[in-house]
Amino acid sequence: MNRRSHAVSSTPVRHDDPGLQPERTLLAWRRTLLTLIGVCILFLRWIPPFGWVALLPVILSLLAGILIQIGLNARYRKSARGMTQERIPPPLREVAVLGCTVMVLSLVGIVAVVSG
Amino acid sequence: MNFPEPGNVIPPGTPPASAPVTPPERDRLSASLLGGGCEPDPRFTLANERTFLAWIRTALAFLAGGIAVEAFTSDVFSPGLRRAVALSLLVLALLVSASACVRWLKVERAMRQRKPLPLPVLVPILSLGGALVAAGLIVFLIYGAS
Repeated sequence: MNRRSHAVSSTPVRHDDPGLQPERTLLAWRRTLLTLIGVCILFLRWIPPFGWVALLPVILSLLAGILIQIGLNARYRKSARGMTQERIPPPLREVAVLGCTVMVLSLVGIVAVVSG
Repeated sequence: MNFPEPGNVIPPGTPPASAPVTPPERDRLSASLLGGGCEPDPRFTLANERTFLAWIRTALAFLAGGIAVEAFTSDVFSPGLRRAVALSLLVLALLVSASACVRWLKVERAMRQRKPLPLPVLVPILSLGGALVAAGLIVFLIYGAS
């Protein structure tokens, strides 16, 4: 069995897309999660001026990152299977979780800066 | 260069191994949000997903910029200016992430109904916002430092 595909999922999903779209999408999710973790670490710098309240956005972004990471393998398998079936369910839940997380993080930042 | 996962890719031309065309049932929330229409090409769905992720990364970059300005520039900027720059970056992050979600949904709907894709509202917001922040900083560097 291919070792690399074993790392992605327990049973390799075969698809015939020469453009490797499911793989590219998986990597795009990974890049985004990496950026989210970077932002999460930057929020640690707010602990000295704002106090331990600054841990709230850190915990929030970590939780969202873990949640998305858990669902990512299933999403990859769904999209790889969808390439052969010619239909992919739209990733409504993932988009909602990630979008709301980033919006809430920006709102927390705005409130913190405005209230000083 | 070979494909990164040669074992995973069926060479083009071979018929798909499994062909059960029973559509996966969608729950009521996504059905009401996406509306009717027929399923788009799966490549388009994935491309829309990647575009959304690229916008979200842009928003995260603005967010990181805002956090960094607030945390690290107390020696460089006066408190008022620091607050203004951080605030405008954070507001840009909020706008970009919100409209990324809206645009993802709009594009998904348009693709299902075979309609033309909506115009990106995000692009003028982003370029105008970035230009305003940059112009504010230039004015500060010329007049504010003296």
